[in-house]
Amino acid sequence: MKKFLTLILTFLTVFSFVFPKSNDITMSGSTTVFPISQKAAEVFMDKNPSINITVRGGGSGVGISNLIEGKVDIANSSRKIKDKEVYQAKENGVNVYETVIANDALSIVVHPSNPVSEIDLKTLKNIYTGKIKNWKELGGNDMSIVVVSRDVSSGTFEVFNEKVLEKAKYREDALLLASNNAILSTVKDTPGAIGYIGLGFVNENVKALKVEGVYPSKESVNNKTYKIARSLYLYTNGKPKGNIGKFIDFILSDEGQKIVEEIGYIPLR
Amino acid sequence: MKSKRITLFLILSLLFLSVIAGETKYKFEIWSRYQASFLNENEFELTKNQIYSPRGYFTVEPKLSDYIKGRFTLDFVSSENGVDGASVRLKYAYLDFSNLPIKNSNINFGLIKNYFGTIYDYDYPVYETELSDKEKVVKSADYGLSFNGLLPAGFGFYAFSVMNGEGYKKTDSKVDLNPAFLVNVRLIPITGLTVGGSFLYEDKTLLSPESVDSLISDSLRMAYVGLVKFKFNFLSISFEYLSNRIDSVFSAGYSFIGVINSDRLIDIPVELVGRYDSWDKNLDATDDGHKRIIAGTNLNFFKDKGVIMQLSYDRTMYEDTTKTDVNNVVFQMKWKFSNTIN
Repeated sequence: MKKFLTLILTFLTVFSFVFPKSNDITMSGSTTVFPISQKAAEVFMDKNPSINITVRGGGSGVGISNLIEGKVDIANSSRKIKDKEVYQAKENGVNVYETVIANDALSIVVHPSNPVSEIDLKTLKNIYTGKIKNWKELGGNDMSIVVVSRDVSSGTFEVFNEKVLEKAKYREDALLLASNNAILSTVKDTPGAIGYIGLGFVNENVKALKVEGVYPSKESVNNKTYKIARSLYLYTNGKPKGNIGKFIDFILSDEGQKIVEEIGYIPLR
Repeated sequence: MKSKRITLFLILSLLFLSVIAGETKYKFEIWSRYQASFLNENEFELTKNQIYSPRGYFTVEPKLSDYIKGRFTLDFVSSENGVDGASVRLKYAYLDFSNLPIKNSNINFGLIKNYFGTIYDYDYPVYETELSDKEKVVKSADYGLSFNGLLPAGFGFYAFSVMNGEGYKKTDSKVDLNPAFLVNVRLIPITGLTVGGSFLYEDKTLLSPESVDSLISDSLRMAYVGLVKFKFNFLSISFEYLSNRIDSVFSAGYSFIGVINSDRLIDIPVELVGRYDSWDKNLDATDDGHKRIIAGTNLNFFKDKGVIMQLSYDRTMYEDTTKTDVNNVVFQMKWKFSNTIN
């Protein structure tokens, strides 16, 4: 047994010198948080050339799963971690630590030519569950509603599912897309489409609707009048230290929060 | 015949459900293995030298609503036990109901997971099955109903099951009518440390005492397992103590598994695994126990463990001195993929 342990330790010592673990920071997860992480990483790497940061998407569920399995240092998430994921993390020796980096307004978007400009939560639910199928039922044109949604690994999907659909079943023909950009592109090209995206993705190619009479904005989120607001998170294994801690501190700094605002999300202060 | 009809019904139901479901997850996993067995390491008397596929799982998970989903797994087995060297059997076929009054709880019904010890979440760090499976104390799936869920704040897991108790391989007249009861609890007092235990009880005289003599020789069965798992950074250690009683015959043993995951230390995704098992089939008898050591290494081709190459050596040593120790060298490739279709 002693020989066996000695052999293993020798093996690891030799290999740890030959193939040292790099100091790179790896992140994956939410496509909503992705623009913040990517821009912040670019600026941070310019200031710290010895640190390399890799940012990947995949959706909040994928990012958290990667963190639990030790594949990434930081999980980007547009929803809170679930109890099931906390259990898996604890069992796997990962002590999940949550950092809120920004706030967001889940924005309901339609084609710019659509005359409808506001909607309430009940109507939105009826559209996504298939009870309302034509825009004329909402005072719009006689045009079928094309329901566009995020896919199931998305945190945005889960927040929408919980806050708007109250976990009711989606219309069966809903288009489930893998990213905010894919939704943006589909809504832009489809006159009858309706979709939901993070505030940071809203641009002139789509029209954001008022929800319950309120536009998604920094003000409406801060004064809590916008009904589909949420926080954006970074999850790490334990309280962030070293380079990871430096990077997250940077995002929380005035400079980092300015990046959050420039991208279109709502800074913490 | 009756159980075959039930199996056929479950298969057809779940195939139908997967067609009408809004979202369906498909998973496929296969193991291809080369195994050389020899009796004495000095004389190298070869008893087995073959390539085969011990397992192939095909799983369909239709999501019927936010609160109801199904799981259906076919187990493809290529071995000398199968017809023409291969067979297919149903491994899991159950419906999962959530949105119960207790948060994070579920009810499973059908051919369900057996939440005994570590058999339901063993991830095969070595090719060999875990102790209770290997020593045939329990089977990994069984017909029945389970209520299970998470404790608040990810503090642990619990499961209460009523099952047939015979596992998923027995059919027809070999299956008795009496239920087996299972309680399983796992707690995580601190991150990385899991303690837990399971208790399985089956009294085969409970429902049909008059049939006991003619059908069943073993009337009382009790099995329990206590386990401790520790996972921190690159090191993972688990220990389980297993005990089984069938009438007046007591069996007991333990299994220790240590894994060093070098991926956490160096940029090479290799795991080094050591395992030591001890099992005594009848505590009152002599010379019927055995010990087993396994040493192996796993190379993960991808970070998601989609392709794993496993190489291991194991040796089983018998208390009975008339029995020769058995050695195995196993090379195995495991690969899997999954997809979700909306």
